[in-house]
Amino acid sequence: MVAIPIAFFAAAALLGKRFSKLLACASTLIILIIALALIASAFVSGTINLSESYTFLPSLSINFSLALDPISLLLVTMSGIVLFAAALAGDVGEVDQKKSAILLLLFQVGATGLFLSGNFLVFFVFWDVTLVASFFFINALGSGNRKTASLKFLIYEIFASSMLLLGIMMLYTSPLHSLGFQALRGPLPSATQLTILIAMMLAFFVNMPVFPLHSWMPDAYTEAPTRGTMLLSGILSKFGGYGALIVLSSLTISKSYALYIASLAAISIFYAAFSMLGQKDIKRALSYASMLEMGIVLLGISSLSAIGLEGAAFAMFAYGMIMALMFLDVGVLFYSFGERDIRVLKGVLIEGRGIAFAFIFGAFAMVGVPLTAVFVGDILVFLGAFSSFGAYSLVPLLSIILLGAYLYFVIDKIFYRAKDHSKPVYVMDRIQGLGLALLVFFILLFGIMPFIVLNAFK
Amino acid sequence: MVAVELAYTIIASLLLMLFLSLLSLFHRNRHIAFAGNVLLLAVIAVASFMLSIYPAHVLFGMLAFNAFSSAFIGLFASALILVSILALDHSGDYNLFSFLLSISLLGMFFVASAASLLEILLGLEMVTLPTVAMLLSEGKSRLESALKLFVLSVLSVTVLVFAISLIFPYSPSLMLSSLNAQPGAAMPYLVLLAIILFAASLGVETAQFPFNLWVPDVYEGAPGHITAMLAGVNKKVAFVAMMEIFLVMLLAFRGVFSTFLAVLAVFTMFFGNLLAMVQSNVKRLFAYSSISQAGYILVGIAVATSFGAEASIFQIFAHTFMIIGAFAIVSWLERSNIKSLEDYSGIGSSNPAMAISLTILMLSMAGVPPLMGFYGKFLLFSSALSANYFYLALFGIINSFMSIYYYGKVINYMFMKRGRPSLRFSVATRLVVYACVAAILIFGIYPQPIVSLASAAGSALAAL
Repeated sequence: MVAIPIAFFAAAALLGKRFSKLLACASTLIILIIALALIASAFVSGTINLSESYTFLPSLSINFSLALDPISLLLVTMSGIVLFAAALAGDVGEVDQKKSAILLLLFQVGATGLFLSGNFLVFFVFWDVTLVASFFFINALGSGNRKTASLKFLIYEIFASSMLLLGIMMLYTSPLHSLGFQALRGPLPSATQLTILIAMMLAFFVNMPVFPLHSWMPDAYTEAPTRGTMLLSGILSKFGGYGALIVLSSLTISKSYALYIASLAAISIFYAAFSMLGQKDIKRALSYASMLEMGIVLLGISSLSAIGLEGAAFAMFAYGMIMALMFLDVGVLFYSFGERDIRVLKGVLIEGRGIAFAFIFGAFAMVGVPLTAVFVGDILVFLGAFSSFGAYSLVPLLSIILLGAYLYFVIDKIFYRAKDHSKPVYVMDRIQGLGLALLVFFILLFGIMPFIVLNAFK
Repeated sequence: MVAVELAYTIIASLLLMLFLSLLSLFHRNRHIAFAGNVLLLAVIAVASFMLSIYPAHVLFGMLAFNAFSSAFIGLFASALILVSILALDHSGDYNLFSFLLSISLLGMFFVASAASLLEILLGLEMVTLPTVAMLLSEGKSRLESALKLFVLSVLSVTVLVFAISLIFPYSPSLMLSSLNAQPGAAMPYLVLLAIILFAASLGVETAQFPFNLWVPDVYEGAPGHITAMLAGVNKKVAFVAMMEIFLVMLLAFRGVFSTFLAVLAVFTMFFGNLLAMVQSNVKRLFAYSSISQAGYILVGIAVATSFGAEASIFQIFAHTFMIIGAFAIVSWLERSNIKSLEDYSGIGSSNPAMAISLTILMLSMAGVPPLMGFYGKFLLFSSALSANYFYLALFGIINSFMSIYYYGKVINYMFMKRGRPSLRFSVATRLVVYACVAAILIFGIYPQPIVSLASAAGSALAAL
């Protein structure tokens, strides 16, 4: 699964412009099909646990190992869906098809490898591959203010990866002398554990992002092209969640810090919700919504209960698809109407039915209406948090009301209000409709039948 | 004995190269000199990499052939191949250059295979003085940097001689074997002084913090191939000498020198990175970045374990290729009058291949996997952590994070869209750059050969 995108990446880099989109679609589709087949087999057999290991640096006892467990399967599937949708439909208004396709494939190499990684070195290598791809997505293909935004993104993310590297090296040089994820469960001295916890949490909090470390995010998400934003918010931000899930659930001392992390998550949730209320640009508002959702994920992780962790994994799965859907929709909206400002757009429903329906569906799904995948994730997260922290943990639910109110306001303002409605300059292609429909389909599928994947957690 | 034959092959090729380039001084044709040089350098490189797997032996009582020396002779020979290809672009007297090059290669050979302090002294002198002569032969415009380099290297050698004379009472043979430190006895203050002087003298050559103010001026003033040689090869020779002196001879005093070197390393890293951030001339930027890289390499020596030595050796290999490739691009652009960061805007559209190559080289310097620079840093900082130098690893990581700012700035300018006439690079420059990028990528994705070479070299050093 890691080899396929690498092969396609090389092919896309060498072949001409005409093939680039085709190759991107083919590569992402193959990965998606493999992931779905794995999900089916996991559903049938009730569990999944694959791992492979190749000798990489024998003299340093470092292996190139890949592992697949239910959580990583979930996230690989999510990234497969998002990447396929992005390859298919994400290129609205793209200036340089070839560059975009190459970066998409490079991102796919990183994302697939990261979720399948079996030890921290592999995790780190793919983390940085993805980082470089995302940086160039913003830097080379982004809109107006892309240079500043990309540099800011790079500085924040490299800070994160240096901290991650520090944590990894602490683990590697500890008496256990191992890089595997399960080494974190081993008998580490508590000072080492604390250093690892602080360093890695700093890294993951930048990436997710969580409150004090988020300031790269609105710029990066807003300036990136549609495809880039889909990948950034749908997949890149889940790296931090995935890493935090692994680290917090493995370290033995994390129990005593869980409450602090949960409070940070709550602060982050409310900060994001209130910042979102003030935004005029839908894309910027949605980037805060993405931060809010990662806060919920972090709340689920910090509960450290089985149900909360499961919920956090499922919530990441659901939010990845939702954010990709919303950003794709906003990208199409922007391309069709040439505008993203909620004060200007009016009556989009009349001439852009597809866009409007997808947005309204996305809004419902984001708030967590039952039968969408987010609902399952949210309820598991809050159940887990409730069992660990008691009733206070339900306070962040209020932020979802704020989110709902804001989205209602947006829908009311830009989709209805029919008097002298906005005129599109471009009508949505069928292929973009297909991309939106694909995401809607999967959100509904895993909302109605979450047991397909949750079964494997037993 | 295959090992002895290989060693004789190396020596014979060295002497043949010296002889041929001496002959070529009397001819005009530069291509024959070039072909002979590259061929013999390739022979030396291949022979010494082959030699590195054989057990150690000593020839004539003064040339130690082991994994450490042969790894570095191989590295220097292959780096000099790249430098002599780069020099083809240059309009100067190529045959004189190749003669001076073969003298300095002989010096490198002495340093790498040194069995005594005198060989290190002699070798270092034979490396730097020909470089000064190379700069002088470029004409009056290079006089300033030649003079700076000359004064500083003479100063460094003088201090080195003084340090050697201080160590003489404790090691009358001047052989490179560990000095005995009487446990419990007070540290002889002469040795302490000698340690400081060794660090200062080699700190000049390896561009450590208070002794490196000459670096940016000389690098900026030198033509491309000489800059590449100074940063990619000469500095590494001094590092080899440093490892031999500190990690073999003075190993018993590691408690003293490792703190001292660690402080130097931290200051050097910060100095290089902070000043690189404010540069607008790209060549100076890379000069400062190579200073900070020197700080990283020193981390492994300061740690003074065999793991640290291994990490430093790996990073020396990585940095040699990174900096030669980077200076090849930068110097070629400089000759087309593209010097400052503003001038770099639009390189990405006028020559995408070179822009991508420079990006890869810079990402590798910043330590982004899966490139060679990443493993160097990973090993270096891990070695610092495993020897309980937490602050050294932390400062190193902070620095490698800071460095991304200026590399990112260069990348930002390069890929700024602006219609520019397309730029063509010469074949020689392209060849060198692609070779460096290929090395960075191949040994980044599959670092095992270099890691095992470095660990063999590290343990050979410990066995000396």
